[in-house]
Amino acid sequence: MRPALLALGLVLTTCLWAAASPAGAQTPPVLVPPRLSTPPTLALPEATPPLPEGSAVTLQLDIDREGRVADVVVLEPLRADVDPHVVEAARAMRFEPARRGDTPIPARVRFRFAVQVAAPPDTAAPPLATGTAPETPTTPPAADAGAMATPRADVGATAPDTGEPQEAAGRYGARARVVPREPGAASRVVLTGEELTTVPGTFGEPLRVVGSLPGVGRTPFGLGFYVVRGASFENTGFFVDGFPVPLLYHLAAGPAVISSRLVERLDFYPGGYPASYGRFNAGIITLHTAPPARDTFSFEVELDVFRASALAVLPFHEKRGSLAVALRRSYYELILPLVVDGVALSFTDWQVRLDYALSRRVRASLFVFGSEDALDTSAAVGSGETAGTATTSLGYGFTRAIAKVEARLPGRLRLTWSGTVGRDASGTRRREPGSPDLSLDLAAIFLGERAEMVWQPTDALRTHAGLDLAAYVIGASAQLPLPPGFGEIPSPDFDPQVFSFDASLVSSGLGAFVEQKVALGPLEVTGGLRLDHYRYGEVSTALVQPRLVARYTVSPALTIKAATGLFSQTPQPFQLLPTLGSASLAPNRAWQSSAGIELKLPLAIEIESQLYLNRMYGLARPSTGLVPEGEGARRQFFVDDGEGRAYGLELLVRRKVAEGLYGWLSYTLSRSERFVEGGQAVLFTFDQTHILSVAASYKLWRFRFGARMQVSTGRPTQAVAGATYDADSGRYRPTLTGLTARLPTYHQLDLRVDYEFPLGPFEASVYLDGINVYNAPNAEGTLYQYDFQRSARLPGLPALATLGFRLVY
Amino acid sequence: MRAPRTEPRPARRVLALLGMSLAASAAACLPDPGFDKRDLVKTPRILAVIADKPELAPGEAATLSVLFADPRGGGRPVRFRWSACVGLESLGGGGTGFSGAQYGMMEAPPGCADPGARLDLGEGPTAVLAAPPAAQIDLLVAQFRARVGDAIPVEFVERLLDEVGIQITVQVEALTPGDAGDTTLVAGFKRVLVSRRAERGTNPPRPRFAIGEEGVVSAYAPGSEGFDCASESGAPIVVPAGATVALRPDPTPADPDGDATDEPWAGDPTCTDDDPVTECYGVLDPQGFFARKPESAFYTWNVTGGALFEGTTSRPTRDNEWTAPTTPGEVTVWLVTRDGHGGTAACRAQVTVR
Repeated sequence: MRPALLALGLVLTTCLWAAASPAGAQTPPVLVPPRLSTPPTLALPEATPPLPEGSAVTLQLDIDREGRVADVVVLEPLRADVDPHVVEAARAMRFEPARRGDTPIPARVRFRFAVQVAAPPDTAAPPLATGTAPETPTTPPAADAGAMATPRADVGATAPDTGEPQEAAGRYGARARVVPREPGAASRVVLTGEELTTVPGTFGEPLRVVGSLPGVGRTPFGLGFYVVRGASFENTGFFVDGFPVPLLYHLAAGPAVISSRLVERLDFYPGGYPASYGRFNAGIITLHTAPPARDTFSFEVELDVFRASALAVLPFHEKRGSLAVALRRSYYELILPLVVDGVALSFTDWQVRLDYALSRRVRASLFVFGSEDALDTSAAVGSGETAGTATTSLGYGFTRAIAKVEARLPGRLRLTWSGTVGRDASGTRRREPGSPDLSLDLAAIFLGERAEMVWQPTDALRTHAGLDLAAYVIGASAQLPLPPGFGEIPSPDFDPQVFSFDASLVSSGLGAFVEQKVALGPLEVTGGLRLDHYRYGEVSTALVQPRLVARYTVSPALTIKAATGLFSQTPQPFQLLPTLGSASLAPNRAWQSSAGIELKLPLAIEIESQLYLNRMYGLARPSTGLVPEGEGARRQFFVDDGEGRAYGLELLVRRKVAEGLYGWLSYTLSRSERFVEGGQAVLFTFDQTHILSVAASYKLWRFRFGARMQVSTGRPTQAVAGATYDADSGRYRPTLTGLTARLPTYHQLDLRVDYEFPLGPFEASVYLDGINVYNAPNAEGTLYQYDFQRSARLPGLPALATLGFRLVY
Repeated sequence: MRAPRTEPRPARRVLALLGMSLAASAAACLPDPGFDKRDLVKTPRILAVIADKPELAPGEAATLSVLFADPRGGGRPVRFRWSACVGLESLGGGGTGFSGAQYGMMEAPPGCADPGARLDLGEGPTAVLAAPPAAQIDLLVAQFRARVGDAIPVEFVERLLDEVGIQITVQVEALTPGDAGDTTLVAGFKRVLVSRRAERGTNPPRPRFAIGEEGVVSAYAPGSEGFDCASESGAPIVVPAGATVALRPDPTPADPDGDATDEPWAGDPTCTDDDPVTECYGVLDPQGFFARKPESAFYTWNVTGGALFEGTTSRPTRDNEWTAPTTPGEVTVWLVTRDGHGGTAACRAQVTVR
């Protein structure tokens, strides 16, 4: 019996020992700390004061099972103006989640976020395409050390469910970007990150955010052309990576022509833009593009009510390079028939971007993109009559290829060369049974080249110089109604007599610029000089445009600034074409001046306010005159003696994205006038006295809630008191009282909700964006009965909402 | 048969766009402003102003008349006051005479900047306009050259007068007495050309048009006078209520075989020596060259009831369609023919809807 009990005891002991043994399946699971997968993007405010070497913010991060940063606590702050932005950047980081064995678990880690802001930031430069690889800390190049911040994480993971400290898991690094201040700019608003894609009422389109900024008058129906500081639409330029593009939006309040995911930053200069830009008389909107930072192949798909888009990013060669491809297509043609008959609308845009770091100091990129829009309609509403049998079609498109090489050399010298070639095409056609077709087709080849040098030997000195070439070869082909000859009597109805013409126009501009910043203690003065030589039509002229910006730092929180300068722009191509234009129109010019303050307040709030005065000269205006030519005279359709002025006050109270909250209040008090014969000042067509925009967005858990309210004075209209019948044309001519009326005050509320959630291996988000949510019956114009005895308001955009879905792998 | 043109499409509310979306739109896409149609006469209207000679030699005179429509008929007294302007406006105000109104721009009617250039032509259903004599035109030309620049050779201006001419604006107001004095019901204006051309323009023939198969109306019927037209057959024109009938201007009389033809009234719209048309006139074209253009033919239709397919027809498709009211009654139909160079003729006919 005893041997049996002994044997049993031995077996049990063996089994128990075996059960207690760490060997085999019974080994306790290993706790793996979270690992950084998506590096942060840190954007610090302009002119952030330098930080000492080794500066860092120590954070406590709660990372959920999906690897998202659920909560951030600042354990060791660095500086009040930096900490909120670091927290915001940390929220956007993504990790491979902590694991116990193979099971993802939430984790709490201590994260040291190193930030370097050594010197005054440099001018804009494309960032490196992707984040640095985990476990490979990077060091910013010496030439732009001031422009980079390097978060570096020393991570020790703590499993919250056990509280058992774990071993440090390694050091992670990533590159982030500090947007530098541009000393030659009188004023600039920079939009980055979530400000670009989550503002309510923009459908996630960065460029529509511009409409909410100071100095920007609203345009009818949300068209993507802006009245900036009282100047006409065409006086504000759209740039992509330094080169002008003809338009930024698709038709019918559509999205931008470039995927928002490829827009790293938007700079808006309401006036007084730096000498490195030219050929526009008012403001500049410029996009700086870059592929999304990705460490591995990724793609994303986005669907909403109106369109679908896809983006793929492929890093290669140990992440020295990346290839990004994006495509977007609308499906209005499926939706519009539910809303209105006889309208076909579609758009497509695509982008291919290749980035490659040739060395630590030299990088190159090639960005090719294009856009096509088409509209075909057989219905229209005019003055009480429907042209039911007429068909109008409109199409336009463009492509651009932009190549860029940038070298950051020792001695804080940066050299950039970029060149572009592109094609623009547009066409409109009107067909009506029994009448000749009317059409206008324009095609243009655009060539551009830029060579720039930025040298900043000390913090107090900075030189920016370069050359800027732009050339258009425009071909026009048209079948148009014959313009009335001298003394001709207007025909009844729409005169079906047409004439055809083919014309071409070559327009070139060569610009040279130099800009020198000198800082003397609290005073910083930047003088610029731009020389533009224009050659087009019968014109060959050079214009010297000096510019000056002065800033005085009263205290770290308060800066006073003032600027003045000259700007110029060529007339519009259609104003120069033979037959319909005047080839001798001189460039129009503007003298822009402004003065204001910049104030930094606690809670990451910044205030910028300024007064501005723009005086415009040489504006092209329609003419009915004759000019001598040879032994006779010829008609002159445009003359270049128009003048105008605009002045006002701008206020921007802004909190950039910090701790999940961003927002701004923008107010503009303005008046824009044009001088008519005799020197009398009349209001500009799109003058708006008061423009108020308030936008805010807050991230709460996985949600982001946003609202935007816009209020603006209605634009001027001519007061009409009856009409007189033109017995020759059969139409009525309004009796204008000479008084100015205005459309009713415009007001609109937009709301947006974003929700992010994991979906298998994907990161998903869904958003609901509503425009004019209470369906304000805003008026964009006035429709008149044929005899002007009755009128009605032309309504603006109605309540409109879209639901979007985005999936990122 | 074409469907009659409708009023602007009614507003539509979008209740839901796609099942995949919660998006809703309260879009009123193309709202109906509820305006009156131009071709339906519901208020007092001037439908035509006619000069018996649309183009005058210097010093020559023309008689002016007005086609006035008042749905209230003779319910109120109406009289007409005439005036004219012979100033720099006659030369396009020193410009080219470009009219933005043709392109839908809001443009005020031509005024008389110099009050001294305004001529009072008196009151009445007609008025007489005397073109300025040659000496006055010379004075205008001198003022014109001073304004646009003496660098323009006088020979050029002389040729302009010889081949293009100047325009005199005639204005007419329809007045009715009210408690506080005369009230202007409506006002209109017309241009009368003054040139030294040898072959000055004339008015189109007085209109003649067919109403479906019901008959042809013209001013040549016995008893017609003024703007009134009547059935050539002498029988009333009767159209069934709600019926759609064709309106065909300038119908060629049926040939002996009974086959109607439809030749354009104004011929081929070219203006060359090889292919002459009814009338040509001179212009200074958009590029500054002297050129000759052909007149054309524009037919403007108005009715007091029913619905017209189009307000104005022109070559090559001149025909129109009219859908008669669904209720029986009398309807007035107007046709105004214009040649595009100041020449005008008009006709008014009664149609019985039964």
